[in-house]
Amino acid sequence: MKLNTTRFGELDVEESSFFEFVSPILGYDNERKFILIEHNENSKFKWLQSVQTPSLAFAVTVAGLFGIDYSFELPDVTQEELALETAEDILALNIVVIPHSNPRSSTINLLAPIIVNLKTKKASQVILVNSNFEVDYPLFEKEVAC
Amino acid sequence: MLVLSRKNGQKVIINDDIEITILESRFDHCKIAINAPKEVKIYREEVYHQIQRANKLSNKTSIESIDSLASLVSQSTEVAKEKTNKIIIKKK
Repeated sequence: MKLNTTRFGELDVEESSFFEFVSPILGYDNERKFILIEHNENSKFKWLQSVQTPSLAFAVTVAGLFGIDYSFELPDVTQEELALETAEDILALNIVVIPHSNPRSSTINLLAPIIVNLKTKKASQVILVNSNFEVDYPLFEKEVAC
Repeated sequence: MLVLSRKNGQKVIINDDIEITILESRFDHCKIAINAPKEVKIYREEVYHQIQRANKLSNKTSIESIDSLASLVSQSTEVAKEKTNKIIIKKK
């Protein structure tokens, strides 16, 4: 089907590739269908584009690509609501915030990843309540003033 | 909105299966215990709002912003070696 998007224009997409959010991306309760778009070839970044709202897209990445130690146990509730049977079916995406005027102070949300079951395409934004992960973990070390 | 007065040790029951106990309350600090079915999601409000805010900000990202971040990443010497995420789930 054709999908209209603000950032990427009209895309030709397969409905079978849609992620269905069983628990919403916080603040976007009515947005339940998204599609993952590569930023460009070999990029560490991707976009989570809403199927319903052309202007709605989140910048996402994979924490490990930045050398971040990202290990945790998935809450039982999430495992159940996503019908996950094996950890190999999991895709964990982290939402990135890039300040327009200063990309050096970009942050990554490690506390609330988007967890996807690649087999069933069910997805959920999960808050890792018992972890020490941060919502705004800096992608770069703070610059040291000389 | 319903407003109830409770003493330390007293409880509130919501919807037959959620039980909230005031464990300890003094001055401006209150410790509560919540017993609820595991599918009920319970968060501290400020954490919830912080995540909402980050989500909202991420939706403001332009293609150019990612391009400039990506070029920073590729020039950077401080970005560590790639690792694999380790996510554990319970065996069925």
